[in-house]
Amino acid sequence: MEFIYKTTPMPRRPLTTSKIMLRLLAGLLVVYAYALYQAYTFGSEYLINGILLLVVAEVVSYACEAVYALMTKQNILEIFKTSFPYITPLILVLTVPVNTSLYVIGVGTFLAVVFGKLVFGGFGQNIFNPAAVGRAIIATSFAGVVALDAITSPTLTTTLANAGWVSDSASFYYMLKDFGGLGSVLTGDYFAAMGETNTLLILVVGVLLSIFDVIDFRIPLTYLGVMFLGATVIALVSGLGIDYPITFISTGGAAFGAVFMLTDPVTNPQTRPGKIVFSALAALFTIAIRFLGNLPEGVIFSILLVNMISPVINRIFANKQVDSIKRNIIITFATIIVSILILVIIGTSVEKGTYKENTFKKFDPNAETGLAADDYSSCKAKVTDLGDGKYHVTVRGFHAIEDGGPDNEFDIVVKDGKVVSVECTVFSDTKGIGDAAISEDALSELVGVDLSSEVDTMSGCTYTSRSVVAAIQAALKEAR
Amino acid sequence: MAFLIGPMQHHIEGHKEITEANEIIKIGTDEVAISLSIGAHIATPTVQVGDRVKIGDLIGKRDDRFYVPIFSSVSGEVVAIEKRMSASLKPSDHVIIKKDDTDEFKDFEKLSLDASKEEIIAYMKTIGLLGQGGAGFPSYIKYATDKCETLIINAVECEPYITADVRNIEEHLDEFKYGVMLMLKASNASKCFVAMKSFHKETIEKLIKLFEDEEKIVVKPVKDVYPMGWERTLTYEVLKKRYDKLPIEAGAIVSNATSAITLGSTALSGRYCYERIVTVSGDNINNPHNVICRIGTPISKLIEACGGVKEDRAIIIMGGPMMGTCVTKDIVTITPISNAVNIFKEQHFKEYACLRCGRCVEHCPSSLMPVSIIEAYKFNDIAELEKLHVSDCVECGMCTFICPSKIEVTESIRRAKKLLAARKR
Ligand code: SF4
Ligand code: SF4
Repeated sequence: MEFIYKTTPMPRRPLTTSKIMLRLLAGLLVVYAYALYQAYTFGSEYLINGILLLVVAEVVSYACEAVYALMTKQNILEIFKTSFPYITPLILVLTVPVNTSLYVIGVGTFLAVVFGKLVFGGFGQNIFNPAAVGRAIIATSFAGVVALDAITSPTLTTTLANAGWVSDSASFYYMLKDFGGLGSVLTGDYFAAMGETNTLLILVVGVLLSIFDVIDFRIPLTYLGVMFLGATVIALVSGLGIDYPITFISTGGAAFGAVFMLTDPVTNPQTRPGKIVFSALAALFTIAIRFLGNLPEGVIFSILLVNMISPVINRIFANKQVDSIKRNIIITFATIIVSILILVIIGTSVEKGTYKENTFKKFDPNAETGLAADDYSSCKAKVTDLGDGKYHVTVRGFHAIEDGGPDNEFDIVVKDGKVVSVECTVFSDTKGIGDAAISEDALSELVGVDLSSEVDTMSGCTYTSRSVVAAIQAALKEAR
Repeated sequence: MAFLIGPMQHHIEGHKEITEANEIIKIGTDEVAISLSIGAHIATPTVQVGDRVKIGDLIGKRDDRFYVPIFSSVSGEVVAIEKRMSASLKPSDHVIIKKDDTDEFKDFEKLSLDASKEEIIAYMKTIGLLGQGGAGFPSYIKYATDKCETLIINAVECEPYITADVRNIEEHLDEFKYGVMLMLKASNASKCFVAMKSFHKETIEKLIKLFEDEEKIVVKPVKDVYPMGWERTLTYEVLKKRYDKLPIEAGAIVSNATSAITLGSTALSGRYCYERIVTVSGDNINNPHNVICRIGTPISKLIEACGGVKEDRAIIIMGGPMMGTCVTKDIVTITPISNAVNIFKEQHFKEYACLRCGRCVEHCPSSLMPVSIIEAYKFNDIAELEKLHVSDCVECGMCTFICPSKIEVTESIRRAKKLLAARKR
């Protein structure tokens, strides 16, 4: 018999960090699956992009970890096993809209993994939630190029932000109605970041993750609770119903951030009172950013802010928990109450926004945008196909519309859905006014235009200009 | 409060079924090596090589801050007094006695239930009664107080694998009752709780019957969590009171059930308790059993009687797998406070980076912050260690057990404790 020395204790709880991460992964995948389903209802190209986003993000994340392993001379497979590279890209993907370009998600993931995680020394060492770092960089640096296509639909969050977050009762209910009512708001039946919309689903997953000992329910409960209570008081003061606080915590990724990002144990305090204070402050920051900055990204920035002060919170509660219980209770509840109070004060003192009925149109991926969607019906364009991509269009100009005079006529060549040349064959409008719109310069500007382009008409010769654009629109439509 | 502090306890798989129902094996020996160091007590020998001793003869004693007598568990001849590895891992004096077949006793006086508080306490001192739950604190000091309102008899046995206490109670119901009554009298308490884990249903029923006529004595089933058997956790569970240093601050005295049996049986028979029941268990022993053996029997005999080890590379823990000590020699012998010998296979856990999840904080029964203590220890930050009350750690092992990243948290805390203690000196 050979005796081995081993310090006690011998037994270990079966729950391992790896299991915790896999359970978290399962929770995230449920949300992702729903997001894909929602993308599918927009059209299969969105579904494909939604899948590709994750593929690209995961590949980038694993690649970064692999390079890191090489640079620090560690075993790559070991790093893959102990660093859980799959989590950050998945969270990041869920915080961007489904039409985000693959380039943006790739760069975002790279920055998230490198600057959110690896520069600190890898898993467990980071100060900020890596996905939040990536998302914040995307929000600030790529705001213009986030989307893959021209479709930018205002989300409920941006709409609320534009309306000043607090609006008068009528405005708020118009807004809610345009978004399909409270049901749609709760189940996320609108266009926004992939993972953030279905608040109900996220909360159910959150409850399950708490039961399976993955996250501490105190964090989402405090975060959403403080926001909810604050919003309720604001609603009472402003004459809004319970719909307001519900909408308030269902938008802008609040639930997603609460369940999946604030709960990241690495970046929050280790004591229970610490976690509660951390979450209450996160709620306060979120709201301050929403109300005072009118930014839709309040959740992400507030997470980064509380991540930063997490060590301070930890210090406040660094004591023997039982001995300091009274002090801890007082600090904890005082923070919650003060947070709610500040929130109410800000919420009731900011200028109320307004919102007009039907401003918001629900996201319709098949809707035409740009030139195709512009209304030129009054020009009554008639197209004759001359073959070889050449079209002859007669269209009503100034005289035709104003006093029943003759039409303008154009010959337009189209190739691959784009205008190759425009030539005015018959000009019936007023010389000296309208002909600015058919000058060689003006017409050559239109070369290369397709149906998704934004085409403006020239002022000073609006009618003629409209007739040219109408003719191009008609020819392009005929050509597709 | 748990909402803000944490549960400070957790269920641990008990594995008690593997020894609980088995018969108790009696182990003979022709030689005992009685350790003169028991827990923190270090005694000096009072016999010399060549002396003949009877069972119950004084062979060593500690006589400084505490009086702790050590008796012979056999009759025979002292053949050597030598330093050997003891259960506390330090080489310490052992009195080695060759056993003869006479089994002669040096009798103590018996003690009746009419004895006064002072008489019982004096008796405890004479027979050298110690807390047999592991700490080995002398009982006569614990009972010398008039502030006790509640007596708690600790039959919780919260460490996994160990069933010695429960079996001891089952085997010695009368002695147990006698001992509890004496302790109750000595404590002058108005109420006595006999705490046992609720899943020992049959034993609890027997105890309820046993104490049927005693109004003051209540059998208290407690949750199957670790470390329910720790004084602090148990006092809180029973009385919902916390204290700073000793249970008496909460008006309580906590005594181990096996100590009660030792007291009861000595008082009834007038004879020294020269044997004790020891659990031999773990995942690396062929026939796990409770055994009964003389104090001073080397653990090699116990392992042999239980069929030897399964895997050759073995980890031997004296005591429970959570708080016991790992010994690397099987000549270590059984002392009055050894309740178990657990033998384990070599084990490997994959370690991850600390998640900073705070599970160790939530479960630490002393409500310390192990994760912060480790950090402070890494930076040699003495002031911080003090602020984090590292000296209040009881080395219960909970933080290592609970850690999902499988970090040896407890071991780091032990080092931090030592560092702080060394710096303070
Ligand atoms: S030491 Fe273990 S239990 Fe404690 S915070 Fe770190 S990972 Fe969690
Ligand atoms: S070993 Fe010490 S620090 Fe760890 S849980 Fe037990 S008492 Fe707390």
